[in-house]
Amino acid sequence: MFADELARVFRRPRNLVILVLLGLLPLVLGVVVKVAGSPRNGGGPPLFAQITQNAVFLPAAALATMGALVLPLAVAIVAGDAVAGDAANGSLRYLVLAAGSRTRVLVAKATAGLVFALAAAGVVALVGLVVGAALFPHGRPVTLSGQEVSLARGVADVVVSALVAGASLVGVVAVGVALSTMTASSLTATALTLAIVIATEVVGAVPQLAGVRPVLVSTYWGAFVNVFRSPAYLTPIVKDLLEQAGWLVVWGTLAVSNFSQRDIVT
Amino acid sequence: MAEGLSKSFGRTRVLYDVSFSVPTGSIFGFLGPNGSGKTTSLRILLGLVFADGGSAQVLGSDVPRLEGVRQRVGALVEGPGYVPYLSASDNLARLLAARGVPRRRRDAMVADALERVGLGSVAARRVGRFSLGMRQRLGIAQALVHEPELLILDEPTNGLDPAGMREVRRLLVALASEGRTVVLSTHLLSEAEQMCSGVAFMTQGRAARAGPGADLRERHELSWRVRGTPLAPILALPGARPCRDGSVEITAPRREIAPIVTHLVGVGVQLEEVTPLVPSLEDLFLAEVGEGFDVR
Repeated sequence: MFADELARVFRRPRNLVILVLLGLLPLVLGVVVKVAGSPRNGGGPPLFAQITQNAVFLPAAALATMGALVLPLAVAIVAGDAVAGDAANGSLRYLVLAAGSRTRVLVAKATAGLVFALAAAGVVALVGLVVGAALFPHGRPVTLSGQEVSLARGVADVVVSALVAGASLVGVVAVGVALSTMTASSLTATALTLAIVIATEVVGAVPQLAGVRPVLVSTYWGAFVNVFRSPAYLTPIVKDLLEQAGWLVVWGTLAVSNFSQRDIVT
Repeated sequence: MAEGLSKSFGRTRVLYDVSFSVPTGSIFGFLGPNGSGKTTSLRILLGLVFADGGSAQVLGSDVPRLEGVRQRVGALVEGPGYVPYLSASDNLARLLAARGVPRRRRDAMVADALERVGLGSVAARRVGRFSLGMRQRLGIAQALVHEPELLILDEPTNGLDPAGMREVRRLLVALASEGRTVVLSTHLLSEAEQMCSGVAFMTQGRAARAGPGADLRERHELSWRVRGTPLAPILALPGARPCRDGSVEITAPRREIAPIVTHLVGVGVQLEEVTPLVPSLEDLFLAEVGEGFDVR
């Protein structure tokens, strides 16, 4: 069932367009940096200053740039559509009837959403790497700690950073799928998911609310850049993954509880 | 089998103490006007909607815990549901996957179901491009594809042209002749008349009457056509109505017709004809539900 759910996600024309657009952004970023050069004095978004030094930093900079809004938006669209899309089509009742277990349906959909999140980060990283190799030097990169490492290690860092960036979106997937069980409108579920994401980012930016930062879904979203240190600094990454797991448990429980008791009338 | 089902959506009560049972291997008509509670009852039987009260069993399993019998039940409820950007084949295969049918068996099952409903030639076409009638056929294929013992079909001929309706009716009769049980929800009484051996009438959230069609007819007060001479003693019977063809129509239960005949013969009437006018399902339905549609 999971494989077919995955096929549904990746065969939806809209989702394919989203992946293509995600792939275009690192291309645009690479061209702009190639033409305009890196920001002076290391200014600008994280890792921008390193892009012109080595190809491996373009995907990292792209992930950092898109990680706060673009990637969560892409994932919210897919997660918000998970249950609500089938409800709107009228196919949810048949899927539930066929699967027997509503929890099974939900798990398959949430897992497909998570795979999409990983794929979205993967597309950004892959295109960034290819464009970076075409536009910038691709010798031995110098990490953020100032240590020169092999190109293979640099590429491996890109792969790991994409995995971490994708995993950082687990919370968005959980929120989107949970809200998707509460409405037959994908748009509503997506908009609410995005509203929650933006609200957590706003709350996280208010100094007086620093105490709640550790539980906000977006607090550690940039943690993957620590992969590009030598050695990799894992503490924020672990905190990020634990935080995402917490959001998954809370919103997953809400989703299962709501979906298993809900009348399916669409 | 359903016993005392009740259901409200918010403050609106949609089912009141609904009870009926469906004999296996038959086509059972679930009849009623729009808004009478047919679809909600079927959704409860399928575990899609939770009843507030009462109980139901499907193939021996208590509703809504149907995991054990899900392979044996197929349904079309309130129209087909499909993923528009997938082909007809892929839509059916998706449901088979959800049922845990191994991939190697899916292609043959999908092809067979699409062939049965006349969609074999458009199996690879995206469903979003299907006409209304084709989508309805796909809905029936979705219900059939895993070869269930029990089919619960809500208005299966909706959107079909007359030829398509006839094909579907033939298909349902054929499925019943294979030993499958078909629960057919419809507001088309002629459709139920042609196919159903038992019926339940739903009206305003209640099952007004349920049972084999013959039993319902038997319980219904029959009309009789009586022809004889002289006419006066016949017209003197309570409720007698003269007809244009010279006969008289009277209403009486079957058990009372013999004393009436004896009385008429006793007063010297030479009877030529005493014929029961078998009520149609429509007559029975209107007798139970009344004229007009009361959609709440």
